[in-house]
Amino acid sequence: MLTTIKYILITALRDKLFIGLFIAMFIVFGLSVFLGSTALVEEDGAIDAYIGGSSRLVLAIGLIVFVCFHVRTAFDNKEIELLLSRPISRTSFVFSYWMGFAVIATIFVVCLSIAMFLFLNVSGYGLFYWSAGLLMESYLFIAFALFASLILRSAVSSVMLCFGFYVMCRMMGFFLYIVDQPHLFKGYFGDIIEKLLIFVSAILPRLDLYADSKWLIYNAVNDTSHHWFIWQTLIYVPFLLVMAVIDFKRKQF
Amino acid sequence: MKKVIKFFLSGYLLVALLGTMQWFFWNGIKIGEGEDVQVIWEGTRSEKPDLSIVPKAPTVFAVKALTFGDDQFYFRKTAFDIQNAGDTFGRTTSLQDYDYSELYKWWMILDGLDPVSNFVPPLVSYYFGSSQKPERDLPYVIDYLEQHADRNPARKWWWYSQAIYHSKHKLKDLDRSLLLAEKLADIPADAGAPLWVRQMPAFILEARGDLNEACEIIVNIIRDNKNIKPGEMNFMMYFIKERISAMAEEKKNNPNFKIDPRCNAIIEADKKAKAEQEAAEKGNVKNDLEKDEKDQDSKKEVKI
Repeated sequence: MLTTIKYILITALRDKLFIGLFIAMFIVFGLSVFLGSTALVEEDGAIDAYIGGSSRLVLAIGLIVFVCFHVRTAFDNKEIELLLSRPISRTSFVFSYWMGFAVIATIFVVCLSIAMFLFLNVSGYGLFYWSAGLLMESYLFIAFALFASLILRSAVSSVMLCFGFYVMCRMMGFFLYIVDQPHLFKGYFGDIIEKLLIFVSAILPRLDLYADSKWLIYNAVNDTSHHWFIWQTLIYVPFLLVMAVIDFKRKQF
Repeated sequence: MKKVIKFFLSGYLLVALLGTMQWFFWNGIKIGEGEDVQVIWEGTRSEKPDLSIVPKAPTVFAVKALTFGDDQFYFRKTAFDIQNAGDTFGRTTSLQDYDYSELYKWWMILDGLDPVSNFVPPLVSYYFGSSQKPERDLPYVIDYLEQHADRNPARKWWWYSQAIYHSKHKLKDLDRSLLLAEKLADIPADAGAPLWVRQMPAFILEARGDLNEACEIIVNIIRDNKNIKPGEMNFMMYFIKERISAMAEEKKNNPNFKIDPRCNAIIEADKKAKAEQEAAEKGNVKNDLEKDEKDQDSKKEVKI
């Protein structure tokens, strides 16, 4: 497992993921500080919210693209077959691959959190919970990206699927809000759509409860939802990895 | 014929033709000049983005969707847009040109996203409250400030006072000011607000000419509050003895006019004290004059 994790880190270095994402984070940091400082009042709150919201998106896009293209390239270059030729089970392979990507995500989140703690006026308690939420979110969409890239033949399709999944999960609160508006679902098709929305909200995770920017400004002390992301991740990541393992075991090389 | 088509499709002519078409697509096609000009194609050159001053406020549904699961980020971004609305791309727009009814919708949307933040109320009170057409625009400002403070009067009482300022001094609407002042005075005692917050209804009532009620409020404050600072006490005594008293003097011939007996007692006691002081001062002056005369007489006797 350690070998696979090292291999993932080396490929990330080879693909210049660290340089690319760190530069992107730096640009986001600078832009957020610039824009936030022009606010009439509460400059610190504006800076914190801009950094929180935009760095979350940059990290998601960067890691999803990296995971999907890395796995697909590994299949195309037969690297997967080379790795499987070692005495490693397919289950262990999938989990170690996920661990490797998770280590990369942890490096980014920790560096970002340290930078925010040192250079921004942000409460430690709120930053801790926000960082934990971002980390859990990263683990979740990495697991989905791994799952998508293992089941689909095209890297682009995997990336599109992951983006769609990410958008749906971030907007899950909105869909649940719609379900609570009975006047919107009239007639036969309205019933179908309502049931479809309820079904979708039951099976997809609530990413809108992860890494809320208001925790950076107002602390997470009075917000009860900041515990949910932990349990959601503990349920959903193994769920995705098990599905990936089931599909991977059926693959013929 | 084939050679002609081949030459045409060889590339260079095709590029020239398409380039010309692009130029006309951009610039437009017009025939004639002056008043007789006939426009065949307007061209995309004249198509510019609509830089409206205040964009149309979205519905609640749209806001829920646009937040993308992060209300705070959308709040800060939208509040920033409202702060700079009308002043982007090198423009400077006079506040009287803003649509305050649309602005009011944006303020309420932002409050729904983050009712705790103090980003929007200062923007509304100190910036948008300076409209050159207060009669048309300030009602929206006052309505928003009142509704914002209503969410948490203990923490947001300052915006009641801002609403009172706009209502009393700019709109001259004393009835509305009094309603707001009563809300301000009703905030919890542990809100940490200064004493003038409790006194505000008295100032509005004084402006309306309701001296009895104004004085009653001040007297009740003195009765109900312990540990009043000397400066505050001096001000309240000054309010009763000077301001209330002066207005009461003007109305004393009105048979319907009455004043709180406690206030009346303070005013009468003050008048008596002033009269005694005046008498004492006159007595001192008379004694001094008599003393001077005696001194003058004694000096004359000595000379002689």
